[in-house]
Amino acid sequence: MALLEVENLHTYYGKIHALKGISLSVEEGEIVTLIGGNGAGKTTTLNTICGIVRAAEGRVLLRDEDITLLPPHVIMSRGVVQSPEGRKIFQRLTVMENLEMGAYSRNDVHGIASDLEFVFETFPRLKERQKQLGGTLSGGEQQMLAIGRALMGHPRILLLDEPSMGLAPLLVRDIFRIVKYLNEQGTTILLVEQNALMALAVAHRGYVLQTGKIILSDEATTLRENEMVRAAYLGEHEGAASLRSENR
Amino acid sequence: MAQVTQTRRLGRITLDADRLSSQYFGWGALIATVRIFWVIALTSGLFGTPADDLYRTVSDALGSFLWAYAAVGLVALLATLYSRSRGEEPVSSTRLFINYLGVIFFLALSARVASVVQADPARYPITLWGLQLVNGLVLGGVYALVALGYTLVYGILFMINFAHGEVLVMGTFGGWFALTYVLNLGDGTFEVGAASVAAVLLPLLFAVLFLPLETLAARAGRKRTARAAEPDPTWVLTLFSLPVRFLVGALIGYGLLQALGGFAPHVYEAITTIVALLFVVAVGMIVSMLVAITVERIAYRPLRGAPRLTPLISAIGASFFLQQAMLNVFGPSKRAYSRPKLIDGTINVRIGDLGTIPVTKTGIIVVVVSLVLMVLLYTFVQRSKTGRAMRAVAEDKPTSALMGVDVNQVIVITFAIGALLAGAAGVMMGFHNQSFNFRAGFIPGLKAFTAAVLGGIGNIPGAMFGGFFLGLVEALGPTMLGINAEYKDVIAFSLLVLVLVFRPTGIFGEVLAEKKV
Repeated sequence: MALLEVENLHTYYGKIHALKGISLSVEEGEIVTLIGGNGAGKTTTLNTICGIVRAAEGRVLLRDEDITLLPPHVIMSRGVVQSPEGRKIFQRLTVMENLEMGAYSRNDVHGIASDLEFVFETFPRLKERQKQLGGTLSGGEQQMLAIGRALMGHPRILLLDEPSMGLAPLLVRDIFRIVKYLNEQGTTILLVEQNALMALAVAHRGYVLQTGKIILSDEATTLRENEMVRAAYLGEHEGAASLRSENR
Repeated sequence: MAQVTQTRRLGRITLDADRLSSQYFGWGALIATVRIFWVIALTSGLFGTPADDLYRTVSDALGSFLWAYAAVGLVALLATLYSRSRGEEPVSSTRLFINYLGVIFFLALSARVASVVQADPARYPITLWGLQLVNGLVLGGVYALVALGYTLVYGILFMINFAHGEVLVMGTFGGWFALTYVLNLGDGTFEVGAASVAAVLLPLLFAVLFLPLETLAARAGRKRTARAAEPDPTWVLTLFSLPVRFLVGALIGYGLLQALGGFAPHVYEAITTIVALLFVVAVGMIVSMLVAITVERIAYRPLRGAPRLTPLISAIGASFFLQQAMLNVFGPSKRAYSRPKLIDGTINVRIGDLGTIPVTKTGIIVVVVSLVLMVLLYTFVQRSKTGRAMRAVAEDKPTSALMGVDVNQVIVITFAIGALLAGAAGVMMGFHNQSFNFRAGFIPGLKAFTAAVLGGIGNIPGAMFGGFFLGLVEALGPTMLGINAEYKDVIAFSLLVLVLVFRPTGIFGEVLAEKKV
């Protein structure tokens, strides 16, 4: 029995068929990554799991319990916690208040305190800046806050949407190191990434998404060797192209 | 809108016309305001009676200075416009115009005040200004409370709840029915009815206070037993079951009240009256809250995903519906809000030996209660978990939902809080004006909306400031301009138009983020 099981998920935005039957599963203790190009439906998949977007068809199971049609705040309180794309820090709340928002659905004072301690141990920067407004943090700090805020919800499964987006390469490495560390500390993670190379390096398994469908799924190490994945996402061509544009 | 600014280099000095123009406006407004206060303070004898020619000379000098200031500004404005018209890139000059007009406005205002007040200083004693100041604060307290409702809802939903004025007057009605109930209990005497109301409510309060005793005692006991291995001393309390504790609490409350009635009848009457008044206010607040929650559920929530104009129209519809419903159910006639003796009458406030100002007790209550409620609200929004969630939802609804916040619930709480404040304002307004009818909420509602816009809608301290500011302008404005007090509505709404044209984000307003607009 998988921790999270997604069966044949279909989602529409108006008339646009965004997800065309996604099925995936995440086992306890795993890092599973969902890679794919722009508009493949990665974020939509996460948002459908979280209940922000309604599924038209299919089911989302958390330990065999159907959570598909529950409202987002209930899904969150069941332990499916998302750190959204673009970080979505509350700009006008302080760092501390942002973290407290992450623990909004919880009442166990001691659990919250120990999670806060864990977050501050993992991200000492946040502890230094706890009184600062969220909007005044740098991009990397905001990403740390977004992850920390999600951790405050004590996730059974953490959904990370593009944690490396818009960060400098050095910071990207930091973030992935943290993702791996969190997993070693026992957090199950579903990681959505455009940076397929890094994602496959930390993940156990991976799914490749293309225009709303899963076209490949395998062990992360196998995916890294796969010709198609290499061409499309790890893309020597693409990588070279982006390098060239950087030089210009 | 990209504001193109043009900077000109004159040797090593950089001239930024737009910034200079803002500073020009700021100083002009300041000097004009100083002149107004100078004239008022000295003619009314607040600083004794200085040599007549001294204050007149200073006042006239300030006036002449302002004229010169305006003339210099005009030359600078024309010069800048000329140079900009010759520039190759188009530069917007709207701001310059606006700032210049602002200075002219303040200049005219100060000239008018000076001429009116100096013409006949005897008609403007300090007591008049004091009285108007008090009136302004009372009006302002009501406006501020109601404005908070507009601003809270706008902050979260970006819609103007036009039914808020009706929510306010529903509170007045609720309070009126509670008041009538108390009066009927006492056969027309509030104090007698109040005694019976208090005889029920106070014991009930005590009973409720006694309910959590066991948990409190248990917690204290746990701490103690954790330290030393002694037997739990709270066993006596745990003997009492819930209904027993309730009864004991009620009996103690009742006993205390009766004892008070025997030993200190004056205190007894004051306390029972206060309890009954709180009861009246509470009923008004609850009625307002229920109305607001219903309106939200029926008229706004189904339109959550609709374009922004749709709930606005729905709000106007809800406003008309409530007004017509009240007209048909309660009739058009005015109803009297009779004051109990405790809050009736005035208190004379002496200002040195310049005279006394009669301040109504209800006026004092309005100002004090509104300030207390505002502090409570601010603390709630800033410190409590729900307040934090309100701020989070105001900023980003989907992300708040991801954090486990029930967004709809927070929206309902926001409406409820706004309505509670409006209900309190409605009942206090009833007691202060002593009569009302179904239309009594319309104008105050619009004024409070004006106040919210004035302070920067969506901004909580802004609404408080805007409320008091508008109240003061309304009370002092006609006196300053030497015109009939009937013009106060004209002044208030002119102010709304001016603010909307010249500073749409309000005095405290932040620049709205693009996503909000």
